[in-house]
Amino acid sequence: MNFLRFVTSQPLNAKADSDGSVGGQTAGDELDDSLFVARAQQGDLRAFEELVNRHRNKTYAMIQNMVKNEADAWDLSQDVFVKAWKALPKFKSEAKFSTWIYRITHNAVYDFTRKRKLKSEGELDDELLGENAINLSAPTSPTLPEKPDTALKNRELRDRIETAIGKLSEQHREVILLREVQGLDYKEIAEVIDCSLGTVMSRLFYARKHLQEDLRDEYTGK
Amino acid sequence: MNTQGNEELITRWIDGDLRGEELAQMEALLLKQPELRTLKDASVEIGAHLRNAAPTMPHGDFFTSQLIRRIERDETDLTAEPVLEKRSWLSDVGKWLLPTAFAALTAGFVVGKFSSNESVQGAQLTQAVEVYTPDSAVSAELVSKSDSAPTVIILSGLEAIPDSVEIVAYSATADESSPRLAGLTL
Repeated sequence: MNFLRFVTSQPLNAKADSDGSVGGQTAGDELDDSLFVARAQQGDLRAFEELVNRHRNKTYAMIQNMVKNEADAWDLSQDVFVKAWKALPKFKSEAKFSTWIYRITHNAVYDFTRKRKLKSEGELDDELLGENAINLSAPTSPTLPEKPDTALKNRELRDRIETAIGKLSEQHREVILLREVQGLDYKEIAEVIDCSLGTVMSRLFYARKHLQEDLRDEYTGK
Repeated sequence: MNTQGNEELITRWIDGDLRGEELAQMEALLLKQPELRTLKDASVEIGAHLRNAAPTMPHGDFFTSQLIRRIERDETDLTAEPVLEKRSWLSDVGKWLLPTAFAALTAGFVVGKFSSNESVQGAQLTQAVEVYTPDSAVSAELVSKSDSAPTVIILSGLEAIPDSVEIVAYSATADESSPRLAGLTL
């Protein structure tokens, strides 16, 4: 048996266990990515499907954290992967596939938020009309309930942190999410948002500082 | 907290990225600004919280299958488009081909020589004696009974009419030049 062929064909038959893991990709997975990328670049849609299975959760988490709407996050995630498929022939393997996907995600989210902002500028602010407005960030699918006491404690803290994250500028929010949730290093973040390492570290510092100040009573003096 | 000029150093310290001289430099800074330890503790906790609370994609398998279908559909459209562009006049004809053929065929069912003995003015019975079908693969059989007025035309070999074709009206006309010719258009 041709060993290389065996190695490259095996992962296609094994379904990636990506569900439920947001940042769980290992170095081995990243290595395997390149094999799937090579095949997908030849037009192998099954190989691309495997890449989607591996990266859909991280991509969705990033988008959902930025746009705060499940339905929009789902649609944008679809758009990201469609763009990735179309642009795959141009992808150069010296970059990590995950970093490249985040770069596409970054552009898609910025386009989306820019259009949303432009659209909302011409519309009446529903919040001014009362409390019956639909919560756009409400989940569109059911989730498993937590224990009541844990749920209450976690929900309070979660709400506070989410509110604090929401107050950050888009640039600060993005770097903190790329670092803390997606686990990217400074260089990767710089590639994704197309700026210098110094800018990444500076934005991270101020994002963290703003968060700590906003949650001062939660984290001061512990 | 005066951190001017030390943002990068502090960020890397929070992320556990400092060694040797840089770490010593950071420790010296901590002696002056011990409150930076609170910033680090808070950042680590918030980071852990963000990771734990990260949203997971609902119905991931459905997401993938929907995406793959969308890509396949896009690819099919892409491969079909150039052919249509090259044969644009054909595509225009194609739009009308089905309804035109269908109408012509239908007209042919009825257009024919009518039996003068049985269909002339005021007669109760009109009977088609000849049916022309433009498509040679389609054959027509006339069924009529003397005790009933309509003549039934049974067509064999006609392609199934797609669901997308909706028959919304029909028109029956007699040829002005000859009372023995008539047409039916759907």
